Amino acid sequence: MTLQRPIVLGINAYFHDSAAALVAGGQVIAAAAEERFTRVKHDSGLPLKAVAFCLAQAGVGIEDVDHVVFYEKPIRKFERLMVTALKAFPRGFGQFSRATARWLGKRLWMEGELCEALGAAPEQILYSDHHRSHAASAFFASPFIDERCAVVTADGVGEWTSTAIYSAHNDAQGATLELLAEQRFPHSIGLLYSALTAYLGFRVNNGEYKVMGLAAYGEPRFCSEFEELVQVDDDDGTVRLNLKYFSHDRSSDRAFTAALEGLLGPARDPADSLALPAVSEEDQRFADVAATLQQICERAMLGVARHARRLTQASRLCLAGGVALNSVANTRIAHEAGFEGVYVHPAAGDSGGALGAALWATHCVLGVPCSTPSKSSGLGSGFDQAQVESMLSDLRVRYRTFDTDEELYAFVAERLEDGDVGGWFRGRMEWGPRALGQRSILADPRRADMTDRINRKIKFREAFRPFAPAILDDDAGTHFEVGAATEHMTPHMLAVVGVTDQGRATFPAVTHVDGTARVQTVSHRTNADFAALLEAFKRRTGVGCLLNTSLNLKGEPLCASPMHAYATFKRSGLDFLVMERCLVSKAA
Amino acid sequence: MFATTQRSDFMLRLAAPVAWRNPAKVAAKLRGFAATELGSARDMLLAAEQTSNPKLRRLFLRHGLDEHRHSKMFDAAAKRASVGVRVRAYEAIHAEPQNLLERWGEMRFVAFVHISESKAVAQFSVLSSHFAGTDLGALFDEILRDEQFHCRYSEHLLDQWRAEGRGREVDQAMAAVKRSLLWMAWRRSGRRIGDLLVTALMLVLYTTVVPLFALIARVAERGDGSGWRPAGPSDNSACLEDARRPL
Ligand SMILES: [Fe+2]
Ligand SMILES: [Fe+2]
Ligand SMILES: [Fe+2]
Repeated sequence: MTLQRPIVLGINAYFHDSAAALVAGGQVIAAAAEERFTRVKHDSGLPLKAVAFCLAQAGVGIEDVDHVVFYEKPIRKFERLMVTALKAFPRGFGQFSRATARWLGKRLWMEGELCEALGAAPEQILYSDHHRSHAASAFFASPFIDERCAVVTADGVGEWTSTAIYSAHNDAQGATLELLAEQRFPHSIGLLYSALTAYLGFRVNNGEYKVMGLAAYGEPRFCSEFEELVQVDDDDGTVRLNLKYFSHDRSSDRAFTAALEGLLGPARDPADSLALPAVSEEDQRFADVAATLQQICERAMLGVARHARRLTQASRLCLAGGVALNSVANTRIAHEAGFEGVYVHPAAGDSGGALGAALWATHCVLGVPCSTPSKSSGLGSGFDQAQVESMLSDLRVRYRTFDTDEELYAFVAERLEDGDVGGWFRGRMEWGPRALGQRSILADPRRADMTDRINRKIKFREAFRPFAPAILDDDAGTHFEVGAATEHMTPHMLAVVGVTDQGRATFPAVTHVDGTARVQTVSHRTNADFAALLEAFKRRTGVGCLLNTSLNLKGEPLCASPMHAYATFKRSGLDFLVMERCLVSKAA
Repeated sequence: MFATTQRSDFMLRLAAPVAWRNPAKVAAKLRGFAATELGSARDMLLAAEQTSNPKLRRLFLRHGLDEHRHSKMFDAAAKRASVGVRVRAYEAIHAEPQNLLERWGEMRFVAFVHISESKAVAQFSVLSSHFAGTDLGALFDEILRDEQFHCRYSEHLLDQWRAEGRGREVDQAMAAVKRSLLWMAWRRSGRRIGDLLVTALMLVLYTTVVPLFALIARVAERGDGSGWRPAGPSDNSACLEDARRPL
């Protein structure tokens, strides 16, 4: 393959969800998170394996790369850590000593670090800005690149920014991504969510999904307590945290202070199990805290989106940053913020910054025209039939090979209809945290007992977390409340929508307790292989819908290679595993 | 499990009652074991992926699956042991992958597996007899049997290479691994001492120089910093020169 220039490698490292992405002549060639290769969830090290993958996928060496773009400005971030530690004096010693040791150790000299580890030359290195990287990932991959767009980014914190509004514009002369306004650390909706995630006994930067799932079991009855904790301006989404409840200014491993427990009651012990719907008052209290938090988050994000609409006068909105993974809030923005179309980048969290940094450098700095939306899914590693067969033969595993994809689809559809649960490993790995039909666990969503079975025997995860449905886009409207507002979010499972009465009756396994689902709509145009499988299931059952969850076990990253997939199969109660056209069964 | 500490059986026996003296210690120890096992599981599966030798691939996969199971067993035991011991912050199992096959090649990797597994066997034998007759004893016993297998298969592989006339290479690989383990142990203790020194230095800085800057930072602070602020003049630069700057 001859690649167009410039070849730009984007890198995100040293925070969480390290990743690399390679863009050549404006085309995205490859992108992947480091965790998939090292198997360390949210791996924050330098993404050496992800870089190696991107270069191999492009068939180039680091010397062929024109620019290596780091996703943020390291010295500005160090400045924030220092100023924060100073302001917290004398309580900020932990933060001060850790930041100084870590950053003076190597992070501050990012150029040397990148050159040494990757073999790059100093003149290759560029730096984007954390939120600009998020914004670029959202705008350039959106279907709205020909229009003036509002871009909103929201996360815990980047260098200083926690929430930002950009105006994006792109034409034959080039692209601009203009920052209009920002809110700064420590006033951050992402940090609020993280602190409460920790309070609720989950891991920060990991358990935020669980909080969202938990919220559905509760009532927002802690509004007056939350008034004390955070003030939200509904008109423009300004967030003001009452810092006496938070400790991110003085501790890097404890997010909240004892005062928060004074306000909301004792924090949940992570070792305790949660029984939901709640049997104990304590568990109900945690669900109610989660519900109140979720409501606050939605109010803030809606306010920000409305403010962005006023500032830009644009009718389209692009979203990224960790908070944009809050698919419940996304749906409200789509319906209530006044935009005609909303797009969310599938890797809205920090891993997406690697791709955004590369896209920003390519289009905004180097002036490469952007004529079509950047590819944003299926950017990861893939394996051909021969590689899968050779691995299975080496392992002396009995497997069946299908001559055609059609035979495979028909067979798998039949097994799923019979109640089996299968792993599905085909094509190139997903970009972003959601499994979208390349590295998935699939099952029949019509069976009410399926949720429990998958939680207990296969994924070993918390029983209260819902599973998502994947449905052919033409059929989605009958069962789910999807429409124009969410059409650019549901292909990547980034919106939670209502389930219709018919949907509830048909798909009990994927309807959450509050009557919603984080639906994935699948189109033949963009996800042909997975759509064909859904079509085969529809021929047997009348519904083109499957339960779709990620191919991994609790606490582990999505499976990147056939070996990981096979090991996952061996360690779980999966009935079968499909890898390309090979099928391995438990019974065999 | 890859045990990386070097202690004699005698020392292990002597240390056991102290190291495992109360439920909190037991839980912490078991969590530590779970993390080590998880780290080895990742390394073994990675090795299974990377090797092109089918036999090694099968053995490494089985080994990796064993270690995953051990990790889960230790984790579950740690949870049982910590009933009533309040865990304040969420402690995730954490272990860095070491990428050893890629760095060292097959023979040295197998030598490493053999040496580490032998140490694990020694350690778990002591613990299995220390806890004999209890649930924990049975747990160590069960895991011990797997570790003995890991020890045997790796030894068998080394013997096969010796039989193929590669005895010198095997001896060199074993010696190299022993040196590396010593070096790793040295570096670990070095890092610990280094960390202590850094903390001490930081404490001095924090109590002498920092207060002045803290005062300046406070004085410079206006308002609580919340609310929208417009972009600054340099915020929207997209020129190459600015992009080269890390600040
Ligand atoms: Fe971010
Ligand atoms: Fe072992
Ligand atoms: Fe083990």
